[in-house]
Amino acid sequence: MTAKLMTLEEAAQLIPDGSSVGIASPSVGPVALVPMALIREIVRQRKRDLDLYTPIMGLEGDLLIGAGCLKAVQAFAFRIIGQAVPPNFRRASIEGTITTREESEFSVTLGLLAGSMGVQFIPLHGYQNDHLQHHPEWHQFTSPVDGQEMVTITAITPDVAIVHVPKSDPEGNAKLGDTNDLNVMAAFSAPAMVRGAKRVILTAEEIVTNEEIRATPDETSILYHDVDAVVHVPHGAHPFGVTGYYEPDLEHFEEYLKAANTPESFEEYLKHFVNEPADASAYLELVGVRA
Amino acid sequence: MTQYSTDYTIDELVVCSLAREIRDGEFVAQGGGTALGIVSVLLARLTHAPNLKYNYLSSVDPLFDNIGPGHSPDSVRGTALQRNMTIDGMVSMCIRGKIDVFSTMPAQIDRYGNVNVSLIGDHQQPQTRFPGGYGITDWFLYANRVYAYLPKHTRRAFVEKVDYITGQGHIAGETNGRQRLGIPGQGPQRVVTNLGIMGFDEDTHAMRLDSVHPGVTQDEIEANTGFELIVGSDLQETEPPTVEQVDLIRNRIDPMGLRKHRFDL
Repeated sequence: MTAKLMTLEEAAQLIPDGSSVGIASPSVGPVALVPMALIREIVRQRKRDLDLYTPIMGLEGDLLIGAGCLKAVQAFAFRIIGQAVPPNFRRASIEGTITTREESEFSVTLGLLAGSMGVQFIPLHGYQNDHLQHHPEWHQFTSPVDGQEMVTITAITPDVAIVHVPKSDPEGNAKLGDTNDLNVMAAFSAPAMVRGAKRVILTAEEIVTNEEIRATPDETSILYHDVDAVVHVPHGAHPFGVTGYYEPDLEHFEEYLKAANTPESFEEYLKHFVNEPADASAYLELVGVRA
Repeated sequence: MTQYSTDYTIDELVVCSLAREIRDGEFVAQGGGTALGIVSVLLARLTHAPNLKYNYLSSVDPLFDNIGPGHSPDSVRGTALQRNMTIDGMVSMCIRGKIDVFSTMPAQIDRYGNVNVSLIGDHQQPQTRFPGGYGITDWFLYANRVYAYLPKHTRRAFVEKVDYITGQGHIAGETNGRQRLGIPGQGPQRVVTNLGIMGFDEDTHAMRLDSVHPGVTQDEIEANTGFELIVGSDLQETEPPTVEQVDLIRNRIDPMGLRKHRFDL
């Protein structure tokens, strides 16, 4: 068995500037498998020109945009909690400093499915909306089967996929927990994106033994052969919640939304919550979480 | 003899108009974006369509009839046919034509029923950015009949050409344009607003004024529409909600008035 355990600092170094990064679990609700500790480390390491792939972009993507890490984002929705459009995303859109490739639930699903299956694309017929203009990787063609005009929904295969899981063993065999608590996308998208990505980093609430993985084999969703790095990060999704571990910190979401409202107050937020804490434990102490 | 309500509010009229479009035994895909949509589905089930089934917040046909706190679909998901239909299951169901009805509240709609929920202005540098389309693109292609509702019928919402086509309507000037493109769904059927109900001409698919709400005039609707509406010879007055419908909406389905979101501005 090959151990893939490493630190957050080491894991983030696996993501060069300019990489496409997939956040495998959408953050439509406050309970999601979002690797926030790793995202904060990406900000600390001042990554630039990343291209974010995620079904629904929330606080995690907005933080990356505000910190200047992203050049582009691809998603079918942009929302933090309630109906709020993420403030840094809204500002960057209006200023024209972020490239947005909006798509739809089905195109994300079929793109992830194609990636996970190792096929180039899945064709869709009739898909002639304005998303098409923003996806150079989608090509129109005539079906050799029935002559129908079709669009290739091209496989989503990011350079790196990152996901926060409740449990992983040191080799990267991992469990997503009770997926009924996740939204309609996550139970599908997390394992699918992990399969399609060229490199995978898991952060985990708990590192368990291989024997423990084998004790509940029904719950294993991610297998070792897709995983390159495993990082132990208790409370690694904060302010998101993780079912069976902790509730979302809704006050922190409110604080974030308020801070992100202006570039000046967002700079303060970044300094206070991301750049100043020495490490993930110092961050947890700062937000009042006992790991 | 049907007893019509005399004290209904405009959100209730829109709920009832949407509910009447759902036929018994159909399958409705209902998004969670606004409460009004789910209220219309539950109303249809409690009245003329007891055998309808629906998907809501990833759960298939949860048995509930009250959207207030303590009665959230989450708390009754244990009664669903399937607790958590993940997105690949939903895509499969939809593309294979198992969804009869979908309704949504767009920011803009045009003459041919193209809808925009993405942005206002230039695509690369918009004036306003919305949360995005979720599955609206997909339902507009693959659900058999789709409906739009708008709380404010204005020239800003009813435009000649939407700034961004999130959901595809009919193909301009082509009677069978959607079929030519291989789109299985029939596309937008009706648009319900605070002023009236619009349909689409069977041949040209251009938007047509079908009925005017009580107290509203045809002129008022035309003045608030950014393109020329077809007006047929059989223009009707919209059927008001019945006493029974209003009672169910207020006292059973939505006592908190969540359906009023954006209708009460």
